[in-house]
Amino acid sequence: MGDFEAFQKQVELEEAKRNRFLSDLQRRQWADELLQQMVHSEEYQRKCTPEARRAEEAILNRVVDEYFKGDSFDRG
Amino acid sequence: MTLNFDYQTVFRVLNEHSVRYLLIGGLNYFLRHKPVTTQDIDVLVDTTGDNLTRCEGALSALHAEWGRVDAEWTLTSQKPAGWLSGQAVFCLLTPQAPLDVFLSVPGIPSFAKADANSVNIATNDGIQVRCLSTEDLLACQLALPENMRRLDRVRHLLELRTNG
Repeated sequence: MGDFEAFQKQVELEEAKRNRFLSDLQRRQWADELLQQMVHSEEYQRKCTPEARRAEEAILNRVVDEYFKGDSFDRG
Repeated sequence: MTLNFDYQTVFRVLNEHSVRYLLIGGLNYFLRHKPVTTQDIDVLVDTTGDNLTRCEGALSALHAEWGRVDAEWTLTSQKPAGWLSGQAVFCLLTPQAPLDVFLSVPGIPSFAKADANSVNIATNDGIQVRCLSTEDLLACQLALPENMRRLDRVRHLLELRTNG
């Protein structure tokens, strides 16, 4: 196993372990809270038009929803 | 654990304990570039001097929990000094946010060099956060195998580099 593969394996094992102590509901709440903090931040309000913000929020909400259906989620 | 999400508190406490850290990963991109969903806060910490000891102190103050195995999952304040060592990443749980503490990450060979290139931002509440630079954020992405890179981020970061 290469250095990166070993690193990635450790990240996955660590995340899986933590997730056994964090409910899906709590993970959902975290994602939602972050989203809310983002869309209400001054910089974001300044950068985006109301229409763009609404569109972005809808997209982000959908991404979060998809994750909780077991699909894609930004693990970054 | 009862959660009360507040990522700003995590940075406030790290700062209060004079921890040398850099915000990396999705929240860095989220705060400095574009909105993305992310499931945790990722920080790279300096492993030199007594920084890991200060980091352990900050994590205790945050009531962070972690265990090398499930059976050892507990408050980090109950762990012996020096527990924050021996592996590259620790995925912790704090009441404020899931928190990943990295002692090293691919693409960043030197904390000191990354720190020298880092940028400071302030949260909505005015809390200072040291962030990995755009250049080093890009280096992290490029250090990933191609199929794991976030192409939208790579494109955006390359544009930023090109356009200054």
